[in-house]
Amino acid sequence: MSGYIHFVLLRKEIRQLLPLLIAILGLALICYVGVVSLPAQMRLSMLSPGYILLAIPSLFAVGAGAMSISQEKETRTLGWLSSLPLSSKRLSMTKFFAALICWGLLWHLVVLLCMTIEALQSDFILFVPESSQGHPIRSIWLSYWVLNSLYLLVCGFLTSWYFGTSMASLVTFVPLAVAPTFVRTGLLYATHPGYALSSSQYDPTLLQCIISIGVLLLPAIWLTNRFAMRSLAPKQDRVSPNPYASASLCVDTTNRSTQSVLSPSSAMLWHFYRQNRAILWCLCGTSLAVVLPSLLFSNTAAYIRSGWESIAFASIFIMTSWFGVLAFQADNLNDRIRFIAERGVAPGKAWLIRQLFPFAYVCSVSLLFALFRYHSLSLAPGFNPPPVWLVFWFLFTVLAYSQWFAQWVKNPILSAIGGPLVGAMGLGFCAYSREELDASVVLIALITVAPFIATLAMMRCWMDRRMNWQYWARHLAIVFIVVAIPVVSAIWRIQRTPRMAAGMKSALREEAKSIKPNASVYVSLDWLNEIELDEFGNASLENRVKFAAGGIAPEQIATAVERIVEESSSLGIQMNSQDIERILRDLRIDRYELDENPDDPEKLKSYQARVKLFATLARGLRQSNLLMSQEQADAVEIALIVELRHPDAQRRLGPDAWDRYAGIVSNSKARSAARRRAVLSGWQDFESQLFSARSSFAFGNFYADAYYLGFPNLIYRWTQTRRVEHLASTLVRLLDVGPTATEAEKIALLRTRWATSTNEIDIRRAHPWTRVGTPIDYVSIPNTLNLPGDQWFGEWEKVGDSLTSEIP
Amino acid sequence: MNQSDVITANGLEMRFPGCDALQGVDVKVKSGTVFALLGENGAGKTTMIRILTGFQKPTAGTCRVCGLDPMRDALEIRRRIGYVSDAPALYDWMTVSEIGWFAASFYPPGYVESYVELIKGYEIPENRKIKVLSKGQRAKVALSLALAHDPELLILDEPTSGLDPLVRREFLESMVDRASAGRTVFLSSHQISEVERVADTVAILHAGKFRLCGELVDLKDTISEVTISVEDPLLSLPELPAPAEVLSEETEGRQRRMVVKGFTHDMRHGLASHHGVQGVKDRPASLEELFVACTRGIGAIARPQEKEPSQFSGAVVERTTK
Repeated sequence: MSGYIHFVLLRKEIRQLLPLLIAILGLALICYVGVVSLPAQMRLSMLSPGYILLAIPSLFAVGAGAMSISQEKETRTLGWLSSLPLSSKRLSMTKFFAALICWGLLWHLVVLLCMTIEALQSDFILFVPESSQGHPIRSIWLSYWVLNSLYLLVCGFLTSWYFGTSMASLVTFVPLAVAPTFVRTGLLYATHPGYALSSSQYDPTLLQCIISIGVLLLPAIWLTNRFAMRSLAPKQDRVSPNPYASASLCVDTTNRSTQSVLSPSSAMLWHFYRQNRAILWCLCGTSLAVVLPSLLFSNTAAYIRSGWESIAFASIFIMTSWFGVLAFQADNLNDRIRFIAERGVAPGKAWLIRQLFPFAYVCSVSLLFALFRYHSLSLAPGFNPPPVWLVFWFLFTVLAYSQWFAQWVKNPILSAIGGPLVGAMGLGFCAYSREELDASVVLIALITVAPFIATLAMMRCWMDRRMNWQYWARHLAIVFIVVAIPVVSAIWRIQRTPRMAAGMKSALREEAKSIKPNASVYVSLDWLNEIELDEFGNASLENRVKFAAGGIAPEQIATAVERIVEESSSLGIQMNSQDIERILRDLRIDRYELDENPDDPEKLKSYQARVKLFATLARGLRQSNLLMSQEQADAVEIALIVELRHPDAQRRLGPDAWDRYAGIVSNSKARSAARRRAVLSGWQDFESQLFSARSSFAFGNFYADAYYLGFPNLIYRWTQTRRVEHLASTLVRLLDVGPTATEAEKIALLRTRWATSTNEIDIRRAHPWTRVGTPIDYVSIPNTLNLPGDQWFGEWEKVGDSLTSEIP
Repeated sequence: MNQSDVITANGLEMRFPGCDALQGVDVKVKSGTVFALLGENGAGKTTMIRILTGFQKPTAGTCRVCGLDPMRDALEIRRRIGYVSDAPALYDWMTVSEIGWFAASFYPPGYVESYVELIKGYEIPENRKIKVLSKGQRAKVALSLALAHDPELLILDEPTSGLDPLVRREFLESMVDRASAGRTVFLSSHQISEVERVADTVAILHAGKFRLCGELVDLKDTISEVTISVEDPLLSLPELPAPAEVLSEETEGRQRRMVVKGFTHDMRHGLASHHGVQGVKDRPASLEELFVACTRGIGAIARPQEKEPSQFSGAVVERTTK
């Protein structure tokens, strides 16, 4: 019979812990999925997703004591349990044993889950390998994680047996939870004064970690047992014949009824403070007790840099979250908020009063960081705090989502354990919306403030305890709206981005099938490595003619390029714009010198070689399927036209060479065909490589604004597809209408070729400012930041065409 | 809505999943009266009170309290009325005086003085914390909080639960005094004897419907328990003519028992003269009998020979006709 009673009690204790277990599993798995869904680069820099799984048993350990004991104290069922024919020791042991069973099950589940995930996805990094000791699941470090969570479990029971309310036990739990870190530092300081800890948890201090936890675990177990026995011992008043004999301690000698009556707002403020006084001071005290030493340790000595800032930030994060939870939890107990509701207090006023203390905490912490940042307090001289606005937003967001969660969940322990998780989710969602969905600051502000709007809107229902399905449905609807705001904004932006018409796309795809992929030969001068610079940092005139392969002269380069161009299967050449720029500069310098010394045969020879090289480059670049080469070919042809139009050009170059070169710059048909080929090739290349690499954001080697973005975000990747499609279709249209359209029409078309990331047509960048009419001495060589098409069908082409008519 | 009606409800319905708490309730509570709502557990009394105080939105129907719509003007209604729920929400950590002082912030001046007077009347130590008060003392504090601003309407859900008999008597007398002073009291209770003592109007709520609603004086005069002895149990009797209304009916052997509203001498004679009827007995029914008849059927009422004299009629007035 006794065994059956124990079994029933154990089952009841496990059932009591189940909501916590399910809530933590659910929230942690949602967090895990959220982190895993992030792009790989973001994920690795933020957090290894595996640690979220490892934190599940530890999170359970934090809340188990409060769930098992504090809840019973608050609902006064512990007294009933004590009245059962069970010894106090048996009762306290059963409670702990039930928590231990759940904790052990969770550990098995987590390890199994980690191994399954890794086995199923071999290319997926669950834990970032941070040291030679490697994987936390497969190394001895697992024992540390397990031991640490056992210590947390015992601490949870310790504070729960000692304190009467769940919030007080959870708040006072924090200093105990971080105590091993301080002990470990002390141990290290005593044994290895000069040892530099890394911020990684895989440093070789496992022994110190385990010793520090072991040292604290034993007294914690002893104290837990002592407090449990004291809590379950029969109280004096139970046997007192006078039921009020024990009430002497519950007497307040202040006679409030003789004091003046406060205004409703002041009374509500007094009520909130008095009701939560102990917890508020506990939260503030814990913040100071943990955060200040952590900040002090963070930089006062070089050998103890081991993530102390992280402890400070994590503590502030948890405290802020619990301030948010406190806004609604204290009055959830026994539905006592009804007292205020029955007095006809406006929900808005009740809501505002509830938010004042948490908001004041957020402001105080922000102010503290401001002092650290702007006044370089000597407290932590090396500590470099983040900007104040960031700290404020961070804490405000955590507060917003935690207080929202506290309004959903009536159970104070679930909201205290889930609050920080939900706060972290809210924070992560805001960061994701900003970084990946490119949400505007206004939208971020909206989704940060939305939880406050939600709790304000639902305040009347919460006060009236109308927590029916409509209550949950409305909350869920607001969650949906919060998620939808950045998503809809992103979809709207994607939809607004111009793209290529479906008919045109299929036609171009068909046409592109016959075009070979870009395989141009890369010609590099590699001048910087080979050329000696003078004292002013410029290459000397002599050295400029030297090329990469041991000072090759222009004739030799021209011959080499000619060989490439003359091949039947040639796909032309591609070059660095800077190289072309330098060849062009050398050509001009040679021309100027020849103008100065018209009879110098050496100068004439050099000039002829350079013009020949230029003409060869024009041919080679034009043969390429790379759009960038086409643009460079335009610039080279413009420069060549300038040379051909020089009054002495025919004499200097010789009539045959001049005719040959004029033939190159006047072949409009071949030019248009080459451009069309390059557009289709570039677009095809872009489409096939999309999302696979950073280079895929370039279209024919034009990076457009991807160049500025570093790692392109999700919305950029989606809109870029459409923008490149639009650019390709605009260029094809220009190729179709170019020969007949007026210059104004061509410019108008070019202006609409590019939509920026804000989906406005970027007139500034899309405007062909450098569009050449009559060829001039100066022409800019396009680079990766330009847009293609600037010189297409410009007046210079007509000038080039007219050269052939000048040939006698 | 009549000027003198403090509460009116028309077609009030409240449906919960798997349960229709109210099914088309119509009620009017006149100013300056004590209205008693009687019903079993789960009959819908608390739901109705929650609707009247704006804590619950009805599925259908309309109601007005003090001329205001409980859903739209709930806060104003709550400021104007006094309300004690079946499980009053009190802050355990406050003292008796503190909770009155705190509540005073939400009401016009003079609240604290009235509250202190009431608390003193109930002999509750002012500086004691709520958490150490007995159930009865907590109920007294809740009543004092509801009465301290002298509300024009007092809504009480099981107000005397936990009170000792002396306090209960005093409290009920004070309700009558309030009604005499032009204030209105709306109370739900299981204590039928108490209701009988103070109520002007009584409504019996059963399965979400009003089975009976009227002035207590009228009910006393018009509700009768009728016992008909017949020769053959299968004998069919004629229906009672209007305005008579059979509230509950039961046949046991050769006797038929009915609780009838508006039973007259003529009807008695008519029934007695019917072929096969051996005799007709009728007597005024007590409120308790009425309540049991409306909720459980007449079968649950003890038979006349087993019954003790009715409390409100003072003695069994039995008329026999053959």
